[in-house]
Amino acid sequence: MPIEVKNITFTYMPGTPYEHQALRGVSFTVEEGAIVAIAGHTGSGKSTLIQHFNGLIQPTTGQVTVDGVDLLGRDKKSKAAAKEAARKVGMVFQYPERQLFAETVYEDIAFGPLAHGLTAKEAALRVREAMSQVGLDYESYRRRSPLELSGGEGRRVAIAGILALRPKYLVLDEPTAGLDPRGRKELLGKIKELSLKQGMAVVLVTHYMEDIVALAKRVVFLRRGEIILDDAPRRAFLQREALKEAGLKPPRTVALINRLSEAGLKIPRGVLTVEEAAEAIYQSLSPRQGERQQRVK
Amino acid sequence: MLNDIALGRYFPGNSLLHRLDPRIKIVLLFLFLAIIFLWVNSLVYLALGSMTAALIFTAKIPLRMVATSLKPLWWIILFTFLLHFFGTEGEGIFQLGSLTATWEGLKQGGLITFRLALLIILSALLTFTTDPLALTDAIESLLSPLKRFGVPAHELAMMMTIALRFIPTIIEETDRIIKAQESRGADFTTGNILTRVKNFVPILVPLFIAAFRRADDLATAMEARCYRGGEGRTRLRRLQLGRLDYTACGVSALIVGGIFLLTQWGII
Amino acid sequence: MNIIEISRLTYVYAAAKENTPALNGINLNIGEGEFVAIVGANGSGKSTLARHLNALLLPTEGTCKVMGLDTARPENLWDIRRQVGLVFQNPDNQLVAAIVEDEVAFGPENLGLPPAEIRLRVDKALQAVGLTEQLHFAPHLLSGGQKQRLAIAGALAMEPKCLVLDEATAMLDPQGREEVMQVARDLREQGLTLICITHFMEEAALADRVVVMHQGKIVAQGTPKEILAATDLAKWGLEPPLATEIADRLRRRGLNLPRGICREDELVATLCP
Repeated sequence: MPIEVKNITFTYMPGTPYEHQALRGVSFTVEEGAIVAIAGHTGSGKSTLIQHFNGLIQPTTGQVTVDGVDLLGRDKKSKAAAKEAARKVGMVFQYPERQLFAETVYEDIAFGPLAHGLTAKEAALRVREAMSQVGLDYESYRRRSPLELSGGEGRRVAIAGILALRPKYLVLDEPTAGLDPRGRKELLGKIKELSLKQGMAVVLVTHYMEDIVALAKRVVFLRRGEIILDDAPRRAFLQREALKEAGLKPPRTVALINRLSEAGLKIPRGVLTVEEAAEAIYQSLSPRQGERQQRVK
Repeated sequence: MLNDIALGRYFPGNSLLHRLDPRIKIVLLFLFLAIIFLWVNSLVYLALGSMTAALIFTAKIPLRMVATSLKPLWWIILFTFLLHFFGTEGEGIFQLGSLTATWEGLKQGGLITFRLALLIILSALLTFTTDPLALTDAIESLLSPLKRFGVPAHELAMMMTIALRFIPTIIEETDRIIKAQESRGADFTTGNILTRVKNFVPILVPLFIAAFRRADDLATAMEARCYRGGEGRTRLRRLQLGRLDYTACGVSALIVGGIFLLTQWGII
Repeated sequence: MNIIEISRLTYVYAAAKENTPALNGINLNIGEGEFVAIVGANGSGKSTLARHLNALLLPTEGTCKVMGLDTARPENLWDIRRQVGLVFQNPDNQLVAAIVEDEVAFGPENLGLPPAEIRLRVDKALQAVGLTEQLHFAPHLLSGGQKQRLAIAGALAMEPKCLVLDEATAMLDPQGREEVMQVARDLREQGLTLICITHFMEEAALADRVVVMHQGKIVAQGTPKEILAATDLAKWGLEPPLATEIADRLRRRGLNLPRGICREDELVATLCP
């Protein structure tokens, strides 16, 4: 059973001069085990949309269900069920290292499980598990203060704090922002592993198209609170109009291929990774290069 | 949820009130507040009330915002009214247990309520029609004669400016941290007072850390741009009094003088 | 003439454990009008170095001279800070004022300039970064790229000889990054000395000279062609620019491409002559 968003709208501060409609009729499904990316310009409504996934905000109209359970509980019994369902969705906000508060890494990661009523013993198990999932060595990190960690380490601790809740769906808002190339690559690798090994569904909100290339099987473009495109990245990044409308730039590989094709090279479209781009260029060049080399001879 | 604070909201415009020098606005506000405090008199209140209404009208402030400015102090106003309504001796209207509501109480309570509302609305008019920055400049300028007595006028104004700059950022940050901790199962709504206070630790600690980091970054950025206190510092904008300001002072003096004479002569 | 002369600079943070230096024996000269990119992974010491350039930090050992003035001498402090503008990483934490024009005026106000002169500088600086229309905006309503351009304008209004961008693009989206780099390039054209601290190799590829830092030391320097296109950046936690990576792959497949491709326009020009 998936997360299903059915035709939701959301209005900020209704009835005031500051009223603003952030979502205008969005329908959207996150299938179990899928990796979906949501891309859009600042103010496109991406952050508002994902906060509906675990009931942090309720839609003005429309419905959000997680595994078939409506997140808006109307009576006591359905409220408890809604809370239970919302817990299946782990939410990692932007710069999550800024929300760390405990004295040690261990305590911070254990906070969620304990707040959800697990025993200390169960929580301890979850902490070990979550730390290994994000690639932090348990013994060398558990007693350290979150404050003395580097940005990249802090981010892993924060993500471990969510993984310790064993979410079925993991929502990440700009997970690689501010990381250096290595930190970025490592974190994306860990997220991919979670999806492959644990079958966790991942929703990735980002404006780094390279992250989408590295991870996602499906991408959604959001513009002013509306979904304007929902497709595989390979096809989506060829839609120049949609990209432009959403205020996005294609990934660097796609941009390079576009540039080469504009410069007169006959080159196949629909490449994503650096490897594919190099191969496509090679294929389209090799006859010409052959000619040139023959001429030299 | 933290966004709907009406306090200190500025409505840009070009009315007389908007164009008035902020220092004059502050001084006149204090003058009229003093009058409202000193003369408890329904005719005085009526005069000042119509003046306030005229100002609201010309400054084009939405009436809803005027009402919102009263909202935080609503219960104080109500309480004061009830205190007078039931607490004043006189001809009874109705009985509520051992309490008697009186006509005199109604009149007294109405007067006091009106007075309180007038105080609040006049103060709100200052912030509604004055750019917070101009307000800061005005406070610095008004306090500067007190520098020789050790009043840190520049520092106070700088603190106000920085607060104005960072309040929206900090509100955003608080909102995000609350949501982040809620997503991890933090609960801020149940339990007794002690558990609730304890439950706020996961919000307060990151907020303090962020605030300290911000303060540190900002201090560095200010230092990098040669900031070294108010000494030898000039300003881009200089406040200058114009004809409008003198006219406003004159009109206000006439109103105050008129009220004074009328009360002296016993007419009101 | 050299704007920056750093010799045997070592810096140890007071709070550091085991006294590991954040900077260890740095020698670096930067000439007037030069565009230098300082690259390195997080924690390599590049931001610590940036803070020495306008005397926010003072060397534990060695010297750092700006326009011939020693940063360690207190009497030089304000002259140095006026000459070297610094833009930091976090757009939200470095803007002081609640309105755009006041933000730009902040530096000149600190210099004690007359109001008419401040006005001129504010208008000029805002024009240079393309924010003239946002004159009366509140900074928190600007996009990330606009905030950083505003921070640059704030530095420019001091009329510095040298501008240091300390990872000024690290927290921006690709569009904001492009905006800031465009402004940086324009300023550079006008003769400003530009020092750009970054871990985006595409930005470094635009510089005259690339300096690589690793664990507090300068481990390599040279033109972008020499550094980005010809060395193994991975051992310092960095990645080559896309153009270099593609060129390398094509060469491995047997294509005969010239060495030293590190910008996309170079790659396009080589492949489609």
